[in-house]
Amino acid sequence: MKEKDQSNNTEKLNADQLQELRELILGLDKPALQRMQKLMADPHEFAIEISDLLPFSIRKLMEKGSINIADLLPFFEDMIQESIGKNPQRLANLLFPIMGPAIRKAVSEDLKRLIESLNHGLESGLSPKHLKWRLQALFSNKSYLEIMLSHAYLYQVKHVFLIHRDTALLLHHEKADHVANIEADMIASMLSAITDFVKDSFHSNEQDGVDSIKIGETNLWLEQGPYAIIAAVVEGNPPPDLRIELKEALEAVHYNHRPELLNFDGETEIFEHTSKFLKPCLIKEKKGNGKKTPVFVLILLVIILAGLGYWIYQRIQTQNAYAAAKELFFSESGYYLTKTERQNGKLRIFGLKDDFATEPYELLSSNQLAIDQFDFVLRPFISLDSLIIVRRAEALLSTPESVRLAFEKATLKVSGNCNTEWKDRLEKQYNRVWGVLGLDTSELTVSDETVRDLSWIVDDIMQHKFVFDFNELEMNEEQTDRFNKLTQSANLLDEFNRLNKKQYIILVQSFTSKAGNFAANQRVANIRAQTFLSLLKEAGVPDHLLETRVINTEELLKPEEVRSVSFVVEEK
Amino acid sequence: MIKKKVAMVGAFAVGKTSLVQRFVRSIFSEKYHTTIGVKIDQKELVVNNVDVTLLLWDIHGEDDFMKIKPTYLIGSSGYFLVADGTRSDTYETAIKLHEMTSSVTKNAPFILLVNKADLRDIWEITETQLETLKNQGWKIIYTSAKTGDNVEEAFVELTKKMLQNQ
Repeated sequence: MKEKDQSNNTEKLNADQLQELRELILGLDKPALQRMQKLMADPHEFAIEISDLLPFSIRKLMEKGSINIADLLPFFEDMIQESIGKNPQRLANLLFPIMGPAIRKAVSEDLKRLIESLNHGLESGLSPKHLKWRLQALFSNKSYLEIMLSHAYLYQVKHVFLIHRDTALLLHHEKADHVANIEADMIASMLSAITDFVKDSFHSNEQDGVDSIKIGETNLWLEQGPYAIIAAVVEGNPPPDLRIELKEALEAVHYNHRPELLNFDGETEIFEHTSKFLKPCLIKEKKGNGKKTPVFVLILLVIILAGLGYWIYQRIQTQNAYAAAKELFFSESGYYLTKTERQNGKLRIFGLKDDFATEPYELLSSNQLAIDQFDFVLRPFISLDSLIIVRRAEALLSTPESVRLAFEKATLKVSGNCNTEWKDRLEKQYNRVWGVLGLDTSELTVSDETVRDLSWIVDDIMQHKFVFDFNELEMNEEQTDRFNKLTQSANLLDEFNRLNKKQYIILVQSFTSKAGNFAANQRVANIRAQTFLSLLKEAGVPDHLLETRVINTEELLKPEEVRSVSFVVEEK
Repeated sequence: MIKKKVAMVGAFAVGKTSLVQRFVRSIFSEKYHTTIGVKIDQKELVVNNVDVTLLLWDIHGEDDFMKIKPTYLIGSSGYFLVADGTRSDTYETAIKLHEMTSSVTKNAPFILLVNKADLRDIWEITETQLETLKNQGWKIIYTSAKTGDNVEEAFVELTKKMLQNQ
């Protein structure tokens, strides 16, 4: 009964009331409920609705740890496996632009280690060539291996072709400067045909291709991409770096022109832009590349320059020596130079020389010039230079040392001392000396009589006798006067000795007696002799001309006065 | 400038090379035919005011001893089938090669060149045979390597077809 009542009440609720009741229970208004119903009924709409929410939810779930990477991995692995199984080429093509750099990086790391290892191993190379390379490495701050490899490379990339893989049509071609034009289109196609032929003939894998072809010194290097091929014609022995250049160019072409390559219909104009990728492949390397400073060349240059500098220095020195010698012989009396010339590394001097001129090598030595740098071809002549005339006169006239000659205004001027005989000879022969026209003897002293007769001199000396009183030592006035005459005679004897090359001496004899105090007598006699000796020296008589002697009168055959001094001339 | 790869196929000794040699630029010798089986020539022409360069792959004639390499046909924008009018077997070979080439080139346009038109009196290939092909939509041009008749026209015709097809 009660349930029936309730049912009746419900039926009494109209639609609006029901709606209000729903909103109160669910908290949603009518449009919101309709939208929810629509989403539930349409999966496409529902998917769109939760697409914004789902990534956020997944991220939150991962943060909470509800799901992790390990949970997702099998799903992605299966997905990739499925993709590869279905069409491996598609994934390979997609990955091509990034696989190249990744593989290169890995390979370059391995290569770096390999190079270091090789470098270490090659350190033991001790051949002269290796030692030279090691020195280069030392001076250029490069590794030994790098230096060693650099000597192996000498190449030039002459042509680079970009070829469409399917059609074998040439997309773009670049050539090095100064390289002749070629039929690039036909060559590119033929090249593809040849690689196809090789591939077909040896049943290579479809993705494999010919990497290189070598014909003599010409190398053809190919890099295969999914849609295009790069072929480089290289003259010489290219380094592995070229392969990297080609790969990078090919990757750049694929990255920038993938749609054009995929939909290629023969229009090649668009591929003009690939020039910027292909041109860097036109590389070349030569021995002694300008970027590297070859230290050994610099050293060689320095040595050459040093040698050149030394040679120039020597040349200048030699030139200076030659100039000094020329100047010397031009100004030297008794020479007349006609010419000079170089022969066998020496300066040969031609000219005239007077017999009385100084010898040439003596002149060179006295002027610090190397005698081995000179040679002489000299003819005799008679010089009228003043010095030479004087030398000639001295020789011709047998001029004594006491005479001085000079030549001025064609006149021979004679000064000094001479004897009559020489003066006679002078007056007779002076005009036989070449160039002498007059004679001037106003300053010439002739002392010929005093020295010509030795006996007269000896007599004059020996006539003098000085007698002293007992125990007397001083000379009186008369004795002093005679002493002066004695000194004049003594000087004449000296002159006689000099002129006649004799050695006469004056013996100063002091006489005494044994009577009385003998010793005292001896002492006084000796003092008298020494006194005279001193007086004679003071008067200018040379020391070597004088000797003293004490004599006892008792020992003489001829009686002599005691306390007297007399003189004797003797030849020594 | 548009470039197109064009293959030229046919039975052995139908005169493919002789047919075109006066009309193309060539830098490679005939020995390539017997070594790698193909020789490439170049033909430049202007069709509908468009400069076109044809790279002509002159493929060694097929016989019992040497088969055409399909890889040489890949990428061709069009092809010539060449038959010798005086040899009926070359007709059969042309039809057989067409099947392969059409498949490899994905139905690229083609023209059948029946060579030795100057010797029509002794032809073994009959008009009936050719009519059958024409009825199937084949373009057939009678050419003569000896006189050069219709060769230039054949190039122009195929080029037009290729340009329409792209």
